[in-house]
Amino acid sequence: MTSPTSKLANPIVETYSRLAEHYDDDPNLHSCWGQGADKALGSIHLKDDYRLILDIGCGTGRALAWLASRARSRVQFVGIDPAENMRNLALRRVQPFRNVQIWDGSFEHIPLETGSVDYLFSIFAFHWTTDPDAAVREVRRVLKPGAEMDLFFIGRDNGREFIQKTTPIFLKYMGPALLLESARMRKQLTKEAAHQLFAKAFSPPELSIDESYQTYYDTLEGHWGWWVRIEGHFMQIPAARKEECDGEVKNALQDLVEGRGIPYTIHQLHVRLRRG
Amino acid sequence: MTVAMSEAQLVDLVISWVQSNHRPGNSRNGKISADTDLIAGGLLDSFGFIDLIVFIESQSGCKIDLTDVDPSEFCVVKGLCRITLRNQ
Repeated sequence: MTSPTSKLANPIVETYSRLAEHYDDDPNLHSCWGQGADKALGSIHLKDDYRLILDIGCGTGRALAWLASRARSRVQFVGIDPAENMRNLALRRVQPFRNVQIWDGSFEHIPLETGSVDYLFSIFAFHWTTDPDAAVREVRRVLKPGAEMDLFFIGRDNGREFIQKTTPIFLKYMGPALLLESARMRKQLTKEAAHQLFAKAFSPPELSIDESYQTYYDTLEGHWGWWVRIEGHFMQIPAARKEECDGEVKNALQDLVEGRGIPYTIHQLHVRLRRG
Repeated sequence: MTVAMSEAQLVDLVISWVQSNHRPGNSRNGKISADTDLIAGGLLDSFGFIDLIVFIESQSGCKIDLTDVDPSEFCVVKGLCRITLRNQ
């Protein structure tokens, strides 16, 4: 049987799957992205009447395991991810929890019945959607009337310090066509664009969208620890030139160092759905 | 409907668009010229270029082919305009 996402394989999914075993390494977990993800997870409060909770882009299942360890056993959790090796790690992690299932799926293809989900969350995954309109329609489809949702994803102005330094280098090594193709893989929206998108399926006052800018400081090695998250963008740089490109990028990032380290600002959008 | 444009017209159009749509924190009002490197100057990132190309294509009627384009030509205002007009 063809899996629901196999036809949609893309470099990002393939790379996440290939590098899955490194995803929970300390450098990534302790990086700005690890901290940002923990902060988002810490803001999630499960309500007593949730029966089915869905995590889209569950990765290695860290959020699901953390929430399941604190939830009542009658709550059912489902995590979906298109990257096979990520799912395999998630399956191993949630093995102690009989009420957690891990399935193949994505924002555009959620393998759940219409109107079945009480609470849907996703941490730093929505910007990887290949079709934002289809993704929002699919999310709308699976939510029960009165369901709640928290989507955390990166916004248009994410990583602004790095962008200016690294874009000329990536342009040099990738060329204009590949650089723009790579950028198109991420759907980094402004708050206004996100509002227009989600307003097609949801309405205020249930729907609200917040944005935040949080600057994290780290060493070059610290930031390089989360590069595993974006390697999919650089797959088409010939291997022989990749090392040279990495060297130039590292030198450029080192130029950003200031008193507290090298800054990186996460522009986060938070789409929230609450009962009226 | 689109009409054939001269390089000078297209350069003016691109400069005007960049002045209205450049990245936050790069105030370059009046200082963008045909020779401005939009990437090195931090005026546009790759998302900005995607938006700019959509704009140019809509205004010029040309489909911009970036295959085998020299990066140093692509990121300069007049270079991008010449790439566009080669596809006219």
